[in-house]
Amino acid sequence: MLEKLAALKQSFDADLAEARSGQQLSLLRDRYLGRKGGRLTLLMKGLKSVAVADRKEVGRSLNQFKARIETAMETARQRIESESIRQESARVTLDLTLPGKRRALGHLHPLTRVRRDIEEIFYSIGYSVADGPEIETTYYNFEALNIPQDHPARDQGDTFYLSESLLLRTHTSPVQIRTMERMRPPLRIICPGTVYRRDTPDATHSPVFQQVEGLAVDEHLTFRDFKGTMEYFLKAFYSEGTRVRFRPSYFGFTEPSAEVDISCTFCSGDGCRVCKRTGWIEVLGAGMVDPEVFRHVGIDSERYTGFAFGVGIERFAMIKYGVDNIQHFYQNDLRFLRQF
Amino acid sequence: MIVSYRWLGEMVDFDAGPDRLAADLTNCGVVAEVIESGSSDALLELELTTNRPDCLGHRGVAREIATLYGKTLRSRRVELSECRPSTSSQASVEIESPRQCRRYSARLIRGVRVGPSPDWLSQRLDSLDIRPINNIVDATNYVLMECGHPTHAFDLSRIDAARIVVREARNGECLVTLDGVEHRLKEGMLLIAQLIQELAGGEILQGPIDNYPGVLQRPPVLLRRSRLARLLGLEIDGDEVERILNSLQFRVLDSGAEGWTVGLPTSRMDVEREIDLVEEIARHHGYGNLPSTLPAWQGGAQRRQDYRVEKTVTERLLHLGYSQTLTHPLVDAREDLKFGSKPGISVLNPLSSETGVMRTSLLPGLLASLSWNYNRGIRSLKVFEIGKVYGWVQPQQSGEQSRVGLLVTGNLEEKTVHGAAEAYSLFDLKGDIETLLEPSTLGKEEVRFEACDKLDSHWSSVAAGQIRLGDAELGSFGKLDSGICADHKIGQPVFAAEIELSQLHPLWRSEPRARQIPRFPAIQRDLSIVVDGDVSYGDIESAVRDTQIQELHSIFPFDLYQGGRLPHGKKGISIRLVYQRLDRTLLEEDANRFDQAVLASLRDRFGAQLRG
Ligand SMILES: [Zn+2]
Repeated sequence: MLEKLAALKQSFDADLAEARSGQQLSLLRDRYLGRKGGRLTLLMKGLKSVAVADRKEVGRSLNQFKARIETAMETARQRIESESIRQESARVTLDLTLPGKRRALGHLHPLTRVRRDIEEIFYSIGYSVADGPEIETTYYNFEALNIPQDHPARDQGDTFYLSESLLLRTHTSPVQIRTMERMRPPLRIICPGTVYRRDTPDATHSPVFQQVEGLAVDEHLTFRDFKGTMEYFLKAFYSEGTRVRFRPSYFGFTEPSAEVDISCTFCSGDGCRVCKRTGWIEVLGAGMVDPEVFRHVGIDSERYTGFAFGVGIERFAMIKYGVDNIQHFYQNDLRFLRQF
Repeated sequence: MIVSYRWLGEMVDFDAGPDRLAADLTNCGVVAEVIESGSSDALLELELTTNRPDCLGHRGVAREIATLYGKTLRSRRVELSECRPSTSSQASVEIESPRQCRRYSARLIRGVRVGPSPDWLSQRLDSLDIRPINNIVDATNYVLMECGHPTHAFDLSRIDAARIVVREARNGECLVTLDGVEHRLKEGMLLIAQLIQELAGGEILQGPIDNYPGVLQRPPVLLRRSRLARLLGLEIDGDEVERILNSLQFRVLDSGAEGWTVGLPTSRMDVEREIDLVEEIARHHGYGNLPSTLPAWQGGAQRRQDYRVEKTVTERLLHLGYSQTLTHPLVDAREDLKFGSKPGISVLNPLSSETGVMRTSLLPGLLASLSWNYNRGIRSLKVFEIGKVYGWVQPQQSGEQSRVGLLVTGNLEEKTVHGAAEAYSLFDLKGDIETLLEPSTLGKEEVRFEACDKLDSHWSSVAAGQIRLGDAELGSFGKLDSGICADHKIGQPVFAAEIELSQLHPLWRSEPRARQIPRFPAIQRDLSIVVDGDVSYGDIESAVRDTQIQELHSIFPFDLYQGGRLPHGKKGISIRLVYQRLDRTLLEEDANRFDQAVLASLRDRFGAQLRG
């Protein structure tokens, strides 16, 4: 009897493993527990023929097996059910075109992008990045830069004053002066930062804006090095195909001075509205450092020469990203910022 | 300044068409644009730099053109037929302020007939946007356009005692200073006399009155060959140098092995040093014709002082979904004062009262950015700004500090098919700050968030606090005062933080050191305890840490509850403790021992009970 039971257990386990559906499960139930002809039912009916001494023991085993069948069947039923639900629901509702659960990415401000690009380009060719105060003395902002007392830039209408001797710097050139006072040549620095001019805001003017000024001083720097450096920078910033043009101009602290143009990024130089049909866009002012500026900081202009340049970050961003109004940079409209 | 292409052509013979001419002038520093082009003439608009008043007349521009194309500038022959008496016997000129007016010349023409100008003159003026008036005024304007020099015609009978007095301006009168225009003045005087006579008849009295008290001495300048080559990085042929200088009407007085001794004309007062002459040569040799090379460099390069902190903060905040804003540091004094107790530095001459002080906090700007977007229908926002705040440290001594400001409002999650909307909470912001400040330890010090009763009034009185690292105050964070938000018509909770960047330097100063990753499994234990309602999680954590169990790897609260079956004034908190050893597998007995120690500490400190 017990051997029969052991064989039955084995065959049940095998049968159960085969069962894949509710229908197969009920057939299985019938096969083992069916009132007529169920294999365990038959075995239980044969209990009477077991010796009395063993009957209790064998009976308990049979009952245990019956209970085991019941729980195993129930577990299998649940498994089959949930599997079929899963399969069913997958067939009906899996819609890969539904949007995923996105995490919003933050956006770097376009002016920071431009400032970083410029810093990286110059850092890569040996320029240190220097910082200085935005609240400056009139000496560093004007006198030391060869800007005389009666120059219109010093007027109350052009410069924000905090006291008679303190003002909001109108360029980052004071940082260059401070650096030249502190360090002896050779030196290469760029000075990025916020500057202030008393301009009424419009599409191209902002009373607060950002600038990067650069300075290189060494024993053998020439106009040729100045041109090469500007070309390298502008091609790296805009694109390798950018053409660069140098025109004579006039600034107080450089001589010879140059206005630097690039081939128009909007029409590739063919001529359009932005470049006023000239094919060129003015991007920066620069030149060889005026000997007078060297004299102010005690650098021997016979021994050292150098060049300096100034870049408007907003202007660079407007050209690079096609922004038509400088005010966009400071309104912080997310619809604008998210594009960068 | 508008010039006539045809007029220029009368002064110098050249082949270039108007467009070519404009481009070539632009390339030598006289920015020109063709604004009108017809069959008989073309007009060029010049954009002159302030050092080039010599190009305010056609003659000066023609001089540039002659030099550009290697042509000769035609000089104008003026011959006057004079008659007696002499001018000086009939009128006088007095200069009261020779500093402003170095020289004044006058001539007398008697018997002129005032009338309309002939067509050639009125048309020429008209095309240059100057309205023809009569032959006398037109003559003065014509001379102005040719020589760039202002001349005035006076009616002698209306001049008091026939005496012209040049004095300093009074009551805001404008006085034309004649600095740097003597050359043009001489030219102009002759021309005007001849022209008036030609147009209006009359006779020119003998000799000019030429009052010249401020005679200028302009010593010649040495232009060294070596200096020229050293600045331009190119040896320019000596003949070319002389050609340019002579054509621009500088006088090469001497040329030798060292260089050239150059006399300076009064037409070019902007040129007075060797370097100025270098620029003239470079300009006319052509910047485009000079070579270009990238110079070598032996030195190193240093990053900005704030580079690492700024980079780390920016990168992390971008990953956390914050977008960067930039606002003006000039703000409204009243608005700024809402965000601090000290008034900011005032600008003496602001553009408007809304931009009258230097900000003392980044929050007004962030709130203004929020307001701009909120009013345009964007209700969920996560932004940051890195910028400076300003203040007086002492009288006349200003200070500037870099900060990072954060602002969040609206929904962390919008409602989607995948789930419901979820609004930002104070702890979303706190979590972002914790992530931002990782590893949030410096030696034994840890970043702490603490309630503080002396917080500024722009913070909510119940949902804000300070961020500290040891004794240092990093900043503050929390919910913004709803009244301030209401001022901007924002009716939803706004959370913000402001942190001093300089205080973060030490957190990230050193490079990370790799430690051994545990090879043996950890044991995790959950403890649910009941404590008095006013015991904070921070208190519990420090009580656990105070047990000094070396194997305690981490501690984290995962459930917090009040009410229900708990007695009034009590709270239940469940903490997860992870124990680990680097050198061996921990045993269950070890963990049991640690649990007991933790429980004992909590029981001693707060009377904590283990919850069944
Ligand atoms: Zn274009």
